[in-house]
Amino acid sequence: MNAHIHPPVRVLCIGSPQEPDNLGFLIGHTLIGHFNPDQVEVLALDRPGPRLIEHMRGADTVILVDAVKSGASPGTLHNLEGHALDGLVAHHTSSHGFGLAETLALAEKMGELPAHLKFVGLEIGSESPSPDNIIQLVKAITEAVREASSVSSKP
Amino acid sequence: MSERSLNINIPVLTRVEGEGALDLSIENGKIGELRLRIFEPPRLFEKFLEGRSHMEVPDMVARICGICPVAYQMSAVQALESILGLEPGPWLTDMRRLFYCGEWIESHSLHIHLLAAPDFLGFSNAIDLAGKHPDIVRRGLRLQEAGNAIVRLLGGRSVHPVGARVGGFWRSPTKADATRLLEELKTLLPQAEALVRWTASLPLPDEKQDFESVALGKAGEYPMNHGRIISSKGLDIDIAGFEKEFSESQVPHSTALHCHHNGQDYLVGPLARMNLNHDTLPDSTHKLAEETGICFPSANLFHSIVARALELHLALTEAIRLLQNYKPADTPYQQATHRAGIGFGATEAPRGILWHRYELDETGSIVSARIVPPTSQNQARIEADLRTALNNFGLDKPEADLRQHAETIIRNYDPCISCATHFLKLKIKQT
Repeated sequence: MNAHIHPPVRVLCIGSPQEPDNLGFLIGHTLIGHFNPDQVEVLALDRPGPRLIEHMRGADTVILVDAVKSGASPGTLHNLEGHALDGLVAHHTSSHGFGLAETLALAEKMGELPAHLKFVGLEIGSESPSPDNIIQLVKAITEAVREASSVSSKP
Repeated sequence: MSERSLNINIPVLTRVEGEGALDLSIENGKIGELRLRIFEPPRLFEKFLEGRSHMEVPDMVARICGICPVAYQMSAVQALESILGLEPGPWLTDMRRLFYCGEWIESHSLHIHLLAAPDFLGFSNAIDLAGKHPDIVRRGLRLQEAGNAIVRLLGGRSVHPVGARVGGFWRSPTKADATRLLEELKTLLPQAEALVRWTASLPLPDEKQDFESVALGKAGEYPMNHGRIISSKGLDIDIAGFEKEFSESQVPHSTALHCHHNGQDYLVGPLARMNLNHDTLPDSTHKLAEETGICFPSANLFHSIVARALELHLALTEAIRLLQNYKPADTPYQQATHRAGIGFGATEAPRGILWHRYELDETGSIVSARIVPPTSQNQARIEADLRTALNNFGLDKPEADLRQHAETIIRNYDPCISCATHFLKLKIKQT
């Protein structure tokens, strides 16, 4: 229900404003002014549940940013796309049990996934991510946006 | 009759908001223990409010629920403004109704498509339903988005909106934004009509029960933001009389209080509202209601999903009407001077009556707050429904079928457990 024209690339950062699940919120605000707003839209979403589908609609490329707990060492970066996303395990259980994995599965069943979907995650531990971790994550998102922008700009 | 004995434990109810469980024992072919167990921790909001300025209340109570924050804000401002002597004018009355329409549309669409419908069509969840019927779920999400867009217009954002304040709204939407939204809403009206027909075509169980419907009414319109508290058993009181008429009590198995009226369970929510207010539906919604073949008032609780769809159509129709003649207000809010007193607010949250009571001191700070959400009012009714409906269903049915039917009955009420959890009374014994 957003009538204005959206940029082709959208970065959706998922997380609560409250610790300890606030990585997406922090990154979303860190990225303010980081990209050309005509090309890239950045949104911080507080546990959107199925509303994520609404936020993905209209974008050619969506880059999801979220904290990950997979058992890897804290600070590990996760870059997933294509079928690798099928193994995504939801840890953001929103209202009514609709987490990220369930929402993406629902969007896929309805043919509502964007043409290009990427996931950039940071493995978190019991401590807050270090400034170095945040810098590495921002670099990974910037690289994903650069790749997406080159794809989106091709005729 | 079977002499069967069986324990059914559903440790975590799915497709409901919040954390609850069901314990059910069947002893010698009869239901013994039956407990809708709500174990989500108490949230203490009423205590948080004490000592805070009344101006902080709308933003604080919006945090109680991500699905129905508008209801919390509207009941709160009604109560607080009654203390401060503020009367909403025509612009504000219309905009508050529009705000509420948005919440009903998003909440009802979410419940119908993602939570309840899979039960009636033999799917374990909405993802499986979308695999078979993608257009139906897509329609549901589009309608939900429309509701979110209305809430965003006035509230600034759709979850925990920040646009409402005591005395009105912080800002008035622009005419251009309102017009753009109006055009989008108009395109969705046929989908809302189709939704009503679709819910009426679902294979809903045919079962009648004896219960008291309680809702706001006598509002001169289908109730959202104001009205008297009326019931199917003849109750007709001012909202200030709620505390004397209805009693709340604690049960050991629930962090939500149980509500009773004259010692009996009662129903709030879409079916109760429809049962008591169907004669105030707009003509187009009324015609659709007649098409469904359901004669309201209905004693079949499974007609709740149809009532929900009709209310969604009503809310969309009303939102279009209110936006058609929209003009921005020069002064979207009124200021008030501090005044001590006690005030009451009652509005119709998507799940039923949401009742608030506040006491303010002469500095405008909250002395005490009491919030009675709809799910705690429905809790005793859900347990009574389970006893009746499972007996009618047949206690000799396979365990998996009993389990599924019990979950279907609970989900039919759209319980919002997070809203309902309340602080526990604590007795400290000192020696």
